[in-house]
Order: sequence, then C-alpha cells, then structure tokens
Amino acid sequence: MKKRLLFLFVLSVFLAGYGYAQTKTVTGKVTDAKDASPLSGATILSNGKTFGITGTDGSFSVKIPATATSITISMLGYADETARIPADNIVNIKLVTAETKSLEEVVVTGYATKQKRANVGSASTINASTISAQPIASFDQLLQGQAPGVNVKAGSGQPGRSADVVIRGKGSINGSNAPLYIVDGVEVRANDFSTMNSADFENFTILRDAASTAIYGSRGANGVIVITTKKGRSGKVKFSYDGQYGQSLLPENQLKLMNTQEKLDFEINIAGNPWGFTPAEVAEYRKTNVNWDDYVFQKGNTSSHQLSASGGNEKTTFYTSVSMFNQEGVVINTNLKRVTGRLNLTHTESNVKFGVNLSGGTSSFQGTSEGDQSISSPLNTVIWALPYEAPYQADGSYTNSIQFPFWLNPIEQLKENAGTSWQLKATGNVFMELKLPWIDNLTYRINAGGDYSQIEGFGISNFGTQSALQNGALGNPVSAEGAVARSFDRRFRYTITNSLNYKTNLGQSNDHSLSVSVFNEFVNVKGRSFNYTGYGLLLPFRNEAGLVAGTAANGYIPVVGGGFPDNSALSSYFATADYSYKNRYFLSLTGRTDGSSRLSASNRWTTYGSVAAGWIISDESFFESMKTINFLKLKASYGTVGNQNGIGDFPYLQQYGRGTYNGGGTLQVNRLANNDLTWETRRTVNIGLDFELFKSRIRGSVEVYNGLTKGLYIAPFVPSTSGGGGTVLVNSGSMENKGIEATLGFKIVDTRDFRWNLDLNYSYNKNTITDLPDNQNLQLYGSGLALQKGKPFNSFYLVQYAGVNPANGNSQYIKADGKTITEIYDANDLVILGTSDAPHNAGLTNTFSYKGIELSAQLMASAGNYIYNNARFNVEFYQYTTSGFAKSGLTAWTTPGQVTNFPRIDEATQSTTTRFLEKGDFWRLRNVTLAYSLPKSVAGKLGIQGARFYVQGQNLFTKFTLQGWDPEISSINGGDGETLGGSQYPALKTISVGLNVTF
Amino acid sequence: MKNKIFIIALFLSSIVLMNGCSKELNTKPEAQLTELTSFGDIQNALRGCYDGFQSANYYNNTSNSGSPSGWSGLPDLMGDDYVEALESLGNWNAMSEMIYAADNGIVQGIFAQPYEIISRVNNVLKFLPRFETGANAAQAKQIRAQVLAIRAHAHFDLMRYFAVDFGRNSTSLGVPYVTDFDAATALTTFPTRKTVKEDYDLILTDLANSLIAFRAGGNTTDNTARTYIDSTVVYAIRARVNYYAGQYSDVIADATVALNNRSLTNSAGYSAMFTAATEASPVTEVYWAIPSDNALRPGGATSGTSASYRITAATSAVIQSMGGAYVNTNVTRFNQAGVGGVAKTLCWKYNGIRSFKVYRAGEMMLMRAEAKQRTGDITALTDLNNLRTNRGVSIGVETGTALLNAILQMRRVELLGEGHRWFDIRRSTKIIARAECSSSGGASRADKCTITASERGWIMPIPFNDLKVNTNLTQNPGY
Repeated sequence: MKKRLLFLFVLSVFLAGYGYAQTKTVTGKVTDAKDASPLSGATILSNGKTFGITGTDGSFSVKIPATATSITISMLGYADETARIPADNIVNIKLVTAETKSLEEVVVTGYATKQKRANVGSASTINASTISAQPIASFDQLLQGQAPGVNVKAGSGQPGRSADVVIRGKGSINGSNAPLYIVDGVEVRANDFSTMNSADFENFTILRDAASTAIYGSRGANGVIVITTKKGRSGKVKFSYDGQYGQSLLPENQLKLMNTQEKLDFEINIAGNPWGFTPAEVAEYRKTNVNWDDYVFQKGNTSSHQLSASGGNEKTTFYTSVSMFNQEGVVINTNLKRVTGRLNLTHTESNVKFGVNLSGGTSSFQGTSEGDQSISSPLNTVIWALPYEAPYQADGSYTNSIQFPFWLNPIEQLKENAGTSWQLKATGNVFMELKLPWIDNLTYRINAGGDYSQIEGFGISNFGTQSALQNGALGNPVSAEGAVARSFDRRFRYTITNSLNYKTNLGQSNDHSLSVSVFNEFVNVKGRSFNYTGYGLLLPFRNEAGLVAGTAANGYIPVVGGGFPDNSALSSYFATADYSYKNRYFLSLTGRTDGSSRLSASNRWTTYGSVAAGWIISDESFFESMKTINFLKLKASYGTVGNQNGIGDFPYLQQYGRGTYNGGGTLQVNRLANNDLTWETRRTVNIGLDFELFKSRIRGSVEVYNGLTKGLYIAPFVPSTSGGGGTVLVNSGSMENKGIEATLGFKIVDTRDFRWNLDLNYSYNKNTITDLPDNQNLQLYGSGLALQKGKPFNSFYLVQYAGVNPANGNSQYIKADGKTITEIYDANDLVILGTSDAPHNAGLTNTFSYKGIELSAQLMASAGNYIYNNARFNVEFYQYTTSGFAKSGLTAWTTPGQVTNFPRIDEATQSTTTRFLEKGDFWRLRNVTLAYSLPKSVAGKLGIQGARFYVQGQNLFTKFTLQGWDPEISSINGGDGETLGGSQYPALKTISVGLNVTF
Repeated sequence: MKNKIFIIALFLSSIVLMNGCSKELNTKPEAQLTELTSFGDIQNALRGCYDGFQSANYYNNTSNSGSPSGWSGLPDLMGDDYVEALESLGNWNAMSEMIYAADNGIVQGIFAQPYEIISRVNNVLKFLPRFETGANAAQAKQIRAQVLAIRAHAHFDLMRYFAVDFGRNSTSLGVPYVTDFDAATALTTFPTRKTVKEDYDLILTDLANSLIAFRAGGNTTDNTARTYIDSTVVYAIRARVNYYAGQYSDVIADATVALNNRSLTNSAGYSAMFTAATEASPVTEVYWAIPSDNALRPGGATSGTSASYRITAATSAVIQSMGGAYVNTNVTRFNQAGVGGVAKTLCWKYNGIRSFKVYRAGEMMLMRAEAKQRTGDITALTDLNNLRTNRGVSIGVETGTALLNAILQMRRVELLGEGHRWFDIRRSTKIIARAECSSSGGASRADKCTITASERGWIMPIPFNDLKVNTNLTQNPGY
C-alpha cells in the first residue's frame, strides 16, 4: 500500500512538470481530398488531446507540446488522419471521406451527423455489417442484443415476421410503444422490413433520450432507429457479391405432449374414456403412434444472393444493388421470397450537392396463422392432434379425424389452403444541399421522401377440404362450398423537410463553435384498402375464376369491406443549436412545435424542447494525471416530447360505425367523443458517462435515465351502462420508466495477428404506474392484467393457485388476504402479480480473430418477466381430454392422498389463475459465426480485391423454462406480448454458409 | 446553373411551406360518421339500435364460440331440456353447470349488450325531437315508438338475468334503468340499481309511451319481414313483462290484443316459420324477428351436425309423444349421428343462418292460457287446445293442476330452442336435474348433474369490471 502511494506522488510531480513543458506552434491547412475545398471545424489533436479547430479557410494554428511528433486531424464524416510534424512545423492535410472503421465514431441522427465525441444525447451506433449477414428477413430482429435499452422480442420464426421493439420500456398504455424507423430520412413501418434488403444498410443509430429524439418530435417519442444505407465512394468501381445458403431446423418444444400409449392410458384410466371407446377400439388405436411434428415441420432452406456496385468520381458517387432472398420456414409451405433493388446517387457541383436514394422490393409470403386459438390453425392442430390417428388414410387422402369438425388436418390446411400475400414496396428520397452565397456557412437543405407500400392478401378454402366442410358442419352452408378471399391495402407516406443550417467558429482561436439549424417538416399518410370474400368455389380453379356467381337461391353473396383507413398529417417547425467550446464543452438545445391532424383543432399544437450538455473531462489539464483513463465524458440531457402515435387517426371524434339490419344500412356510435384529448407528454432525464481506459483498450458507458409520461393515453373500461361502443380514449394517469444502461467493450488481445474483443451490454428498466385516472388505485386493463398504482404496466391480475388438495383433488387458491387457502375460485381474490415486460436485458458479443480467421459469438439474455401460457391451458383444460393433451395430465389426481400439482381431471379448469403463469427468463446463443478472409496477396493473384467465407449458426442454443416452442413472446403471440395465446411458430434455428467476394 | 438551382429550391420550399400550414391538418374520417344530421341518418341510427340485437352477445349464437348469446342459445343450453354433448369444446360449460364467477366473460357480454343498445336508443332520442314536427313528423313518431319499445325490451331482458326476483312490487334489486346518453360523461355516470318494482314501472311507462307515439305517428310501415317493432309487438312485450310480474289480467288483455292482430298459424305454418325461405315474408304468427342478414345463427350451440348441446332423452321422448308439427324435420331431428356413437335429438329451428323470432303468437297463446288458468278462467283449456290444434297435437280435457302442467309442458315444447327455458325454471322451481351427466354420452360432470334452488347462479353476478368501476352498483348475493 505504501509503495503505491509513493508511486502516485512521483507520477503527479512528473505530470505537473509536464504541464509547464515547452510548446511549439504548428500551423497548416486541412482540405477535402476530393475537391480540395477547405474544411472548417476539423479538430486538431495530439496524443489524444484537443488543441484547436480549423477556421473557415481550413487553416489552423495550434500550440502543442514541443515533444509531440505527430498531430491527428479529426472531422465528422471524414477519416481521422495522423501526420508527422516536419521540422518547419507546417502540416497540410487532405482528409478523405470516412471509411467503415471510423463510422463507429459518428452518430447519425438523420438530420445531421455528429462526432460521437460531440454527441451529448443517448445514442448507440451499430455497424450493420456485423449483423446483416444473419439469415433473417426482417431487419428489426437483427437489433436483438446489440445495444442497451433496446428490447427486441421476435415472437415468431415465421419468415418475414417483424419483432416487437421497445426502447427504454413502454411509455404508453393505449398509444404506440414502437420506435420510429428512419431510412435515409424517410419513415418506414416495421412491417415493411420483410421487403427491404438489410444488406444495403450501412449502419444504424439508436436514439434513446429526449435530447436525441427531439428533432423527430412526436414521431420519435418511443425512440428512433436511424438507418443509413450504403453510399458510393469515389474511385474505381467496386463490385461485391454476397451469397448464402442455409438450413433451418426445428427446435425442441418444451410443451410435452402424450404419445399414443400415454394418451390412451390417460383417456381410459384417468379421463373416463371421453370418446367411449370399446376395448377393441383401444387395442386398434394402440397400433398407431404418430408424431405429427414429422409431417407439419420440415428443414427449411434459406438462400440469398446480392450483387452490388459502388464507385464514382470526385463529383458523382453511386451505390447500387440487386438482391434475392428466399427463406423457407420450418413449417411446411411457409416461405418468403424477396427481390429488391437500390440506387443511391450523389452529385456535387460547386455549391450544390444533391442526390437520390431509391429502393424497391417485392416479396411473396406464404404463411400460416399465429397467436390464435383457432381449431383450424395448423400450429394449433399439430399440438391438438391425436397421436393414435394417422395423418393420411390408406387411399392417400387426408385423415378425417374423429375430432372433426373441431380439428382440421394441419397438413391439408398447409398444403391445400395456404394463404399468400404479396408486398410491393418502394421508398425514395431526393435531397439537395445548397451553400447559400450571401452568408458563409449557411446551407439550405431540402429532403423529400416517399414510402409506398402495398400488400395484397389471398386466402382460400378449397371445396371439399376439411376447412370448407367444417363450415357446413357448423351450420354455415354457404362457406361449405369453398371460398376465396382477397385483400388489398396500400399506403403512401411522404415527408418533406426544409432546413437552414448556419455554422460558425468564433473567438480568437476559433474556440467557440456554433451550429444552428431551423427546420420545417410535413408528413402525410394516406391509405386505401378493400377486401372481399367470395363463396361457391365450385369450378376447378384455385382463385376467383373458380367462383360461381351468386344468386338468391345459391346464397353465394360476397362479403365486401375496405375504405380509406389512413389519413393523417403532421406539421412541425423546429430548431436546433449546438455549441461547443474548445471541442470540450458542449451544449445542445432544441425547440419544436408540432401540429397533428389526430387531435382536435384546439388541442392540435404542442411545443416542447430539450437541453443537453456534455463535458469531456479527460481534456482538462487536471485530468492529465489519470493515465489509465484516456477519455472521459460526462453528459446530461433533459427534455420533453409529445406523443400521438398509435391512437388511430380520429380518436377525439365521436364515430358512428356502419352495419346492416334487414338489408338496410345502420349507424351506431362505436367510439365516444373526447374533445379534450390532447398530447401525451414524456419528459426524460438522462445522465451518462462515456469512458475509455488503458489507451482505449476498454471502452464503456453508463447511463441512467428517468422518463415520466403524463397524460397517458388510456382507453379505460367504460361502465357497461354508458354504452356507446364502450370505447373512449382519454389522457389520464402517469407512468415512469427509470433505468440504467451499461456497455463495456474490451480489446483483450489486440495484436496485429490475433485480436480478441468482448462487448457487453446490460440494461435494467423499472416501469411504475404513478398515477391512474380519477385517482383510482386500480384500473382494469386487457385480459388477466390490471394497472395498479405503484406497479409496473402489464402486471398480471390473477388468482393465486396453491396446488392440489391431496384429499379430494380440487384446485386450491390463495384468498386475497394472502394466506387463507380456499377451493372456491372467487374473482374477489384476484391480485396484482409480476409484469410481462422483462426488466433485465443483456447482450454479449465475443470475437476472436487470427489473421484471416474470425470467430464470433453473440449471446443475449432477458429476465424478470412472466408469461401467461394459454397454449398450455388448452392442453390441460378439463374438457379437452379428447384432443392432444399435455403429458402432465398423466399426473392428474385420481386417488385420495395423491400428492400432485395437476387437479382431478373432472374439475372445471379456471383460466385466470397463476397455474398457467410461467417465468419468461431465457438466454440464447443468438449467433455464432466462423469466417475466413482470403489474404490480400492471394486475392490479388486471383484478380479480386477480397473474399470472405463463413459458416454461421443462428439460435443454436436457448435456455428457457416456458413450456412452448420459444421464450420470445411478442404481440404476435397474443395481447401485448403477455400471453402465449396458441399457434406459436417456432423460432428458426439456422445453420448457413456464405461467401462474399469483392472485385 | 446556380440560378436554376436557386429557382428550383425556392419553388420547392414554397410548396413545402404551403403544405405545412394548418389547413392540411384538417383531415376527416371517410369511413365513419361523426354526427347525426339528416333524417336519413336518424333512420340509419334506428336500424343501428336494432342491429345491436344481431350481436353474438344477444341473439347470434355461433357454433362452439362460447358467445354470450344471452337471449337465444344460452337460456336453452343452461336449461334442463339440453345436455352438453361430446362435441362440445366446453366453451359454455361454466354456463350450463352454472359455476360462473363475477369475472366470467359471458356474463360481462350479457350485461353489456342491452345497455349498448339502450345507449343507441337514447342517442336517437336526443336527435329525434327536431324531426317530430314538419315533413318527417309521422315517421319520426314511429321511430320514437320503436326505440322506446326497444329500450323497454332490453331493460327487461337484463332483469331476466340480473334482477334478484320478479315480484311486481318487489323492493329487491333490479337493474339500472338508463334513459340518457352523453359521451362527455360516459366515464363518470354511475347509475345505481333500481328496485324490481321501479324497473317494472319504467318499462311499462316506456311501453305506454311507445303506444302513444304509434297512435300519433301511425303504425310501422314497410315491415313485411316483421323485422321492425310495431304496435302488436309492444302489446306482446307488455304481455311478457306482466307474465313475469304475475299480472295475469294484464297478460290476458295484452296477449288478446296481439293475438287479435296477428293470430296463430297452423301446423304447416309453424314448421315453415323456421325455414330460411319464409324469412322475407314470415307467417302471420311472427311478430318481431331479428333478420339473419346472411349472418345470424341463433341456434349455433344447439343445432347443426356438431351441436355443443343436444336435447335430453327425456325431452326428446316428450316431443315424440306430442308429435304433430313438433316432429317435423324443420323443427326437430331425431337420431342424428354423434360423437361416441350417441344418437342425438336436435332442435332444428335455428339450424344454420336464420332470422330469430323474438315474439310470436304461440308464446302469447301459452301465456294467456297460463294466465287464465292461474286466474280461474275456464277458457284456459280452449287456448291450449287452440294451440294444440294448430300444431297438429291431439287436444285434451285437462283441468286444475293437470291443465297447468299441460300448459307448462306445451310451453317447453312449443318454445324449445327459442331462449325461454332457463328463465322459466328461474321463475319457478329453480331446480335442474340432468339425467345424462358424466355418462359416456355427455360432457357435463357428475357432480354438476343436479343444480338446486340454493345455487347462487340463479341470479347472475353483476360483472366484476362494472362493479370495480361503478361503486354504486351492488353485487348480487353469493358473489
């Protein structure tokens, strides 16, 4: 201990002396390598310390320690350049546009690009190249485990499905909690990612706090994910081919079902022979033992190909790509086929820079229904199938089960009645930047973008299939003769942003840097849709051509729907100001006013703003003693933002819905007016510390935040006696999200040949309802859920199950007092329990690379949430002993004294109890990749620039307890992601090989 | 070049600034109306009131859905003429075994739907007065007459499940009687439960005012399909209300008016009444029918090839012994193949897509016969035999208790599958004894075969959610 004290003393004396060491003045000029234009605002560093900034003519003059041998120039959008200081102390440097490696140092907010150093909000930037090779159709799923505070639940392995993404906890109850996705400045819906090529994405930035999202205003209230697509670089045209082939395997279902012997034993000995089988029939059935999984699931093939080209000259650069992506799911006849194309073009001409980013894609999706309890959904019927029935009859036709019409052969449903949808998507934006001549550094920019997407859906129930026959059996003879349904939805959103930006450096040594921008933005969404179902599919065509015209006698009257579903507009005016002093002290201000068509004229406009500040402590002279910490930044932000997402287009108006009575039209109130409806507001405080230790071998950040939503959008339970459709949206109550996020990256080994990197991230979010409407303590919400003051959102509201009474086999419950045991289910014993939103989320990425070989593994974990397992309820329900049943049924109580957790089978199964509540904790090996890159020398001999081969495994291992296919439960599975409703599509467990060649 | 770009930029920015103005934010819904303005809107809103009866909470009853179907399928499958079949998915099991708790979803649906319809009525009544003078005055008065009758009918249907008892002057808890609709106070209006007597008074007042309005505006026109309420239906409603209240002289009076307006049909008419073919122009016997509109399936739980509930062997035997129209294949089907080798008897009245007959002459005749018998009127037998004759059933000469029992048995058979039985048991013995429980032929459980009069389920619970929100409501005993 004493030794160390002495050492520190010596060190500080040495450093103090260093502070008074001799200096020298280095001068020079920084220009753009392409057009030799002077670059102002570039930072001059030496040995990691900032000494000054270039002026408007690109020149600089800095005093640096005489011992320094080199200086580094750093500027946003350009690669850092380090140069030796020659004897004359004059350094002229040309900067080239940033390459991939330095992108990590840039934060793209969509409206501006900031140096990470200067960013004072809460943002994470992720290089897309590290994850875009994962064989997943929908980009949002790739975000999983990549950044703290981003909770991604996939919910399904169906090709093309989008995930539930929540940033920093759910802040709204009846409003939307989905983040805003921006691709090159254009808003995109998460559902559309299945028709976009994630390989075109260069990087994405996650904006979390109010200061970062303020420029997106109300659209960004739930956080923003900004995606930048690849841009061309001047130079020789570079071609790139990416190809991948893989196979998806079926994971193991943790919901265990009975096989034939078990099922028949169960039916005869425990369930009281519900089918009334004779002993001879039982003996016959025992001869068949079918695992229906073998017929419904398959090994799914995935393949993708992409060809891209990029290049250009000093004035014009381009990036273009075409791609093909085919993925088969693990369920037979489910697949996604996609073709996309993109062209990004930028041209610079003296004071003007303009460009276009255009992309288009089309996909065809053959899918199966998910998250329902339907007796026709194959993913339910595969579980509810009887193992003693064969899938096919002797003549090759589909088995007509004794369960018909309450069970449809899943193989027939998937093969004969598959639904298809086709999506067409086009996004594009044009932008122009103009350096205005009247004032130096005043730039005008316009960005106009459009996002068009259309989905055509097609469903069929072929004549003669069990699905059609079921309708007849259930008293709907018209549908029994086959039906065709088609739907068409199209949406167009355009966004126009105008801005003026002024940058200047002030002060004698240009220490003061200021950037001010004013914006005007207008967003408009319009949609149109129609759908119809035609009956009488009697002709031998599997489309509308097969329909027989309807008459009063045959009753084939089509059902038609549709209209103009979307019609909203948002108009905004906002301004930002970024100020920095010595590139060490930062201050950012934003102010904004938003007007939304979704609110009444009197409540339409709202104004809010944010303030953020940052301080690079490590640049201070007093910090020089801290050798181990080479970078330390403290940042803080405070801001408010309004929200109006996910509330429908006309939530404040009284609305009359339409209907039919006796062939005449009807109108009835289906939404109650609320003229007072206004903005939901969120205020967020964020404090963060970014640090780099041991010459940046360890990099990390810690952020704490507190978000408070006021005037929550709540659709409260309307007293039944009030009627009016029972639907009204109000602003009432408040909810808090507070949490901590940490990232830590280690360059454990960092040699020329061998590198070992470890990146960790962890986030904890605590959600608390702090206030409820009318000062109530409890508000009913959803099914099996309730909102209670002091408890998190999506808390379960169930009666506590207390096992089985060994004496009589009855279920026991805990009364509301928390101790008395009762056998009587009573709604008055409902209590608030844990939440379905996982508070703990973590990710880990470990990468080894040795020469051209790279091995990386990505893990993610989620803990602390509960899931209501309705899928299990349906195979443990006392009346469903005639269907496929949970193996646990074998332990059902039969004899007095028997200790078991499964009650007697003839007791009515109560659903709203904790018997079906399960823990949602899990961790999974999200991705493992082994890659080999050809050495440059070998590549050169082959006449190519480079080649990379890889093999990767997706979701190879998952540890969880939930009794189902997968623990990642999202709104696809039921409700708000709190319920595993049924028909769960297993997550894809994929092994693939890939190749990337550039030439 | 530079100049061109400036011009383009200025042009673009001017477009944008124009776009950005507030006017662009004035969007309007194109698939919803926000206000009732024209008389045509009022007429659509009137049909909107009726439309509420097509809900699966009221008269629709989709197969195996577990829909509340409070006044079509449910009172039958909860009664003793039906037993849960092996085909059942168990969605109504808690209802037919009467083990529902206050948070039961079906109970919630039953409680909510009548008030939903009532709110539509009250909304129409708000807009109606300005049309009751001038060109549309007569039609507007007809609308008033209809919506008041709907309001009375819906409140009465609530009483049938939730009122503690049915005494005409009972001070027991009835149901809240709602006569106003205001969106602005929807969340803060917390009505209390009226007494049973108060409910009766309000129902009868609405019905009396309905008749007054009909007199002023004339009877409902364009009503070939009998899908709209006319004055005959109002008398029929009042007869049923008074029947529950035990006001037998009033029952006789109103049923007589109704029967004089629209009389019983014969045996052939009875069986034809339940076919889809007669829906557009039903037999005289039908007073008010909820049209199918190609979607309504009032008997989903109790008919079709996979009915969740089938007629008990005992009731099946009674129907067979009566014969006549009741064994017509449009009405009852015997020996239908079922799961587990069970030969099922099914009520075929509402097999598939059908209109639902809410009030008809058969019920009037039975109520009048019973009312007469209970008040010592010897023409009770005449009424019963009149019905028997019109159903192809042999007439009898019963008197006294035998006559009463004959009327009640006839009621069971005549109105089977039409949403009456459970209420009839509730008003009388409050005992259900099912014989086919827990055998391999039925899905009901052995310990739920017999339901006694002391069971709390005979009065449905006020839904848990409503109790939580509206603390002015008092829960029914036992929950």
